Amino acid sequence: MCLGIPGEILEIDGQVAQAEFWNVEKSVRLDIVGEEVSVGDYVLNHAGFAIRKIPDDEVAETMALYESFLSGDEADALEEIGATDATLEFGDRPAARTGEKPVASTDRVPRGPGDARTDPEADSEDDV
Amino acid sequence: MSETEPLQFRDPEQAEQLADRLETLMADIDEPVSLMHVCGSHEQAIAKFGLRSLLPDGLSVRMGPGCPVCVTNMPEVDEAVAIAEQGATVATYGDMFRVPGTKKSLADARADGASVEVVYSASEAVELAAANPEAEVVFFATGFETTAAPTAAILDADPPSNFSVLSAHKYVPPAMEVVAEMPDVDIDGFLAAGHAATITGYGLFEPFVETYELPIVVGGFEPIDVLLAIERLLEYVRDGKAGLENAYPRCVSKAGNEQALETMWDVFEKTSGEWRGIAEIPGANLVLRDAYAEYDARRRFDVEPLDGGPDPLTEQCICGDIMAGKADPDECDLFGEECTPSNPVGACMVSSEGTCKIWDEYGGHPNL
Repeated sequence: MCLGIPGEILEIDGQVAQAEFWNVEKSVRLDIVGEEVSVGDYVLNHAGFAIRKIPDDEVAETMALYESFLSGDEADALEEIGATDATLEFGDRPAARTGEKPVASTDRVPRGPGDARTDPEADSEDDV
Repeated sequence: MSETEPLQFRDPEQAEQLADRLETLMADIDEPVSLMHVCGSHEQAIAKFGLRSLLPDGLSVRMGPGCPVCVTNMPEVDEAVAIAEQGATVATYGDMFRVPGTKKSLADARADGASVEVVYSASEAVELAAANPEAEVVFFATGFETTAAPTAAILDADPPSNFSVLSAHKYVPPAMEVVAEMPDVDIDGFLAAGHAATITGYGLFEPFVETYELPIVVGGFEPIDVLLAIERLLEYVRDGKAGLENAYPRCVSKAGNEQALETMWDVFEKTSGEWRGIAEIPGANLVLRDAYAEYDARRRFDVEPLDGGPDPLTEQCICGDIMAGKADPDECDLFGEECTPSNPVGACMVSSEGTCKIWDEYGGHPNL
């Protein structure tokens, strides 16, 4: 679905950031986010691009909302972040706003040839 | 509901309160009301959470042209197939892969030996071109504002010379005007798509509301979001007023994402084009401006329109009527029979945003 999924910025290199979505790490482009973003900020990701910086005072509410929503719909969420072969891990996200950094999972998303995500026969349904 | 009371987006009590409110409003209105949403994600929310079962008698919420894959015209798919068959690598979103063209889909072309890759984002298509400098990589770019702005961003970021874009991007507001003007479509208000409005802002609907004297409410995708937006629309209908309201303020502002819009309009311009099964719509297709001609696949490749008509089965497909709010999927003779997600006839049965696919997933008419 075209909901956009919120993630926390871990690193920024020019217009490309590494962001973490419930322990899944993905690259997100910052070209059109429209605001200055820094490490620790949360952005709404849509098809690989951050389309909005989530204001600090809305982060907790937004994350709780998405956790409620996604817990039954991990497949949708994984499609949104282009990581259909990964596993979302819920539970430690609130730590991100209390100073304790969540540990990025080693479930790094495979890239390049052979990646299940790029195999059309896997019935990918990425949104447009 | 109190304005200060925080919304719990799945609170059954709030849902019941809103359902009661809808009953009261419909009793006041005392005649049938038809609202239209223009977003596949709204249809998903409505089907998934059984929201139609909460709607009072006489209130219908119709589907509109809210799935960009579904409204991509067959000749646009044909262009992508033809380019792949000329030896280029065509990269596209997963949803587009199996959408039928006049003769074949990109999946068929790949099965026949063409190079077709599914990408998750526009930037992955650029990475594919950078990693394969010997290949021509064409990004078959589909979607509304939320994906048009990213496509524009990658063209602004100096992509490699072996990269080009075949734009099938669409712009929603003119399509809403066309649907509003259709004589056999009787819509009392529009539920506008929250995520597209994240980019465009809700202010752009002001002229529409003025011209067509219809209410528009921008809504989110949680059950309470959807019910709240419907409640706001019914208030306008009861009062006999047009108006514009943002019922999704946690994501949508009046001006939208101005940087994304600036990038999008820097790269794209509006042109007239056919929306699959609906109509020729002025100003609703996005094509590359002359300044980006070097990246325009239509100028780089010589693609002739295909001869002959589509498969006769395709002509029975009523996707156009469904996307114009004139029919439901279960009114189509093909639905669930000749047309299924594994063997789709129309685009609405392919995309996860497509109404037929959604209805098929939730067992037909998704009232419950």
